[in-house]
Amino acid sequence: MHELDLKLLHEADRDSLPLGIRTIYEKEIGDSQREKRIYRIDKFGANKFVIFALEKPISRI
Amino acid sequence: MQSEICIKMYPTCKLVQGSKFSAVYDLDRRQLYRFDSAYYPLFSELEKGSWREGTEQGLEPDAAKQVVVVLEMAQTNEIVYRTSDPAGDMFEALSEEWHSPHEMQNCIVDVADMDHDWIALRASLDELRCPGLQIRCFSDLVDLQKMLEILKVFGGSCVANLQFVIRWNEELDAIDWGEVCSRYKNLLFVKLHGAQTERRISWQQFPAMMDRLVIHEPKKIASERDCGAIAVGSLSAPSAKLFAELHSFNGCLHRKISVRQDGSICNCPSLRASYGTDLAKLPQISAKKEFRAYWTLKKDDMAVCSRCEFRYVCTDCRGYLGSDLSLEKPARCKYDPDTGLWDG
Repeated sequence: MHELDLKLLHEADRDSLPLGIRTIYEKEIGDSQREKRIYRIDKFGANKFVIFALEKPISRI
Repeated sequence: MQSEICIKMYPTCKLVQGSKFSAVYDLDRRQLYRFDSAYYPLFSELEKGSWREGTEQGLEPDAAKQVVVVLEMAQTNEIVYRTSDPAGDMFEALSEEWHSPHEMQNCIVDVADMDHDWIALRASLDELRCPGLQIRCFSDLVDLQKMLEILKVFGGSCVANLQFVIRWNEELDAIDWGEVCSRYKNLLFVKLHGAQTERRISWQQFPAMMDRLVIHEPKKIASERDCGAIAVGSLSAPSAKLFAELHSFNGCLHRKISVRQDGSICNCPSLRASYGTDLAKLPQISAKKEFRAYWTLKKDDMAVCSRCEFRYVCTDCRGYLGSDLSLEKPARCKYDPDTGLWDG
C-alpha cells in the first residue's frame, strides 16, 4: 500500500478543528490521469485514511 | 427592503447521511467532506436553504457550540454561501437521473487455460456499444504476442478503454510501451502481476504513453477470487455521474457483462449465475430479465450500506455472499459505518 507523506499534515490545523469535523489534507499520486488517486485524511476516521480513485474501476483485481 | 442573510449549500454539493459519520459530496470538485453525524441536522438545514444565523435547532449541545466554526469551514471550502439575494432560491437541485448511450458499460474477460473467440467478442461488444474491456489472465496464455493479437482485434472497435491484467514475464520488460500505446490508442492500462519489483511506467519514461499507465505488481493474481475487496483505495472520487448511477443502480454490475475463464458468460466471474458460452449472443443474453435483475441492487436497499456515508462513491461487490441477489454488505468490505472504522 502507498505510503502517506506525513509532511503534508499540518498538525496545528488539525488540533484547532472542532470535534467530529473532518479535515482533509490531500495529495494526488500516480503518474498519469489514468490512475490519479487522492488521499483524503480525516481527523476522526481512526488511524486509517481513505483513498479515492478518480475513475470508476472495471474490477478490483 | 433588505432581505435576511441566509446560508445555503451549493446545489452541486450533496448531503449524504450516514450512521456514525455523514458526508457532503462536492460533485464539481470531486471532493468528499466527512463529518460526525452530530452535525447532520445543521447540514440538512443548509441543504434546504432554511438555516438562519443564530439558530441551532436540532443540534446536540456540543455540536451547537461549534456551529460558527463549522459554517466557516463550510464557507471556506465553498460548500455553502451566504446571501441575502432571493435569486439564491432559483438554483435547481442537480438531477439524479442517469442515462447512457452504451447498452453495456464494461466487460471483464478472464483467461486461464483456454483462449476465447475474440472476434465474436468484438462483434458483440460493438453491437452493445461497450466502451470498457478488461482482460484478466491468470496463466501465461496471454503473453506479449497474444496481447498484441488481441489489441489488433479490438482496433477501431467501440472499446475505447482496453485494459490488460496479465502475468509478468521478462519479455514484457523489453517493450517500448510508448510505441505500443501510439499504435493502439484504446490501450489505457496494463497491470503485470507477479512482477519482480513494484514499479510504474508512464509518460515520464515514454512520453508517447500520454495518460496511459503500466503497473508492475509483485503480487500474483491466481483467479477471479482475488477481486472484490472494498478497502482503503477502492472508493471512487465523487462525481455527478457516479452519484446519479449509484442512486438507482449497482455500481459494479450495472451494464456489465463478463466471460469466465471456462468461457461461460455471466454478470461477473465472482457470481454464480451463467448464461451459456456463445460470445456472439452477448446482446441477446444481456437483454434477459434475469441477467438485468442484478443491475438494480443498489446501496440504498442494503441494510448496512444504506447507513454508510461512502455509499455513493462505493462501486460495491456482490460476489462471495450467501446468494447472488443478496442485499448483505459486501463480503470483503472492511468498513463499519456504525463505528466509522476501517478494519485491518
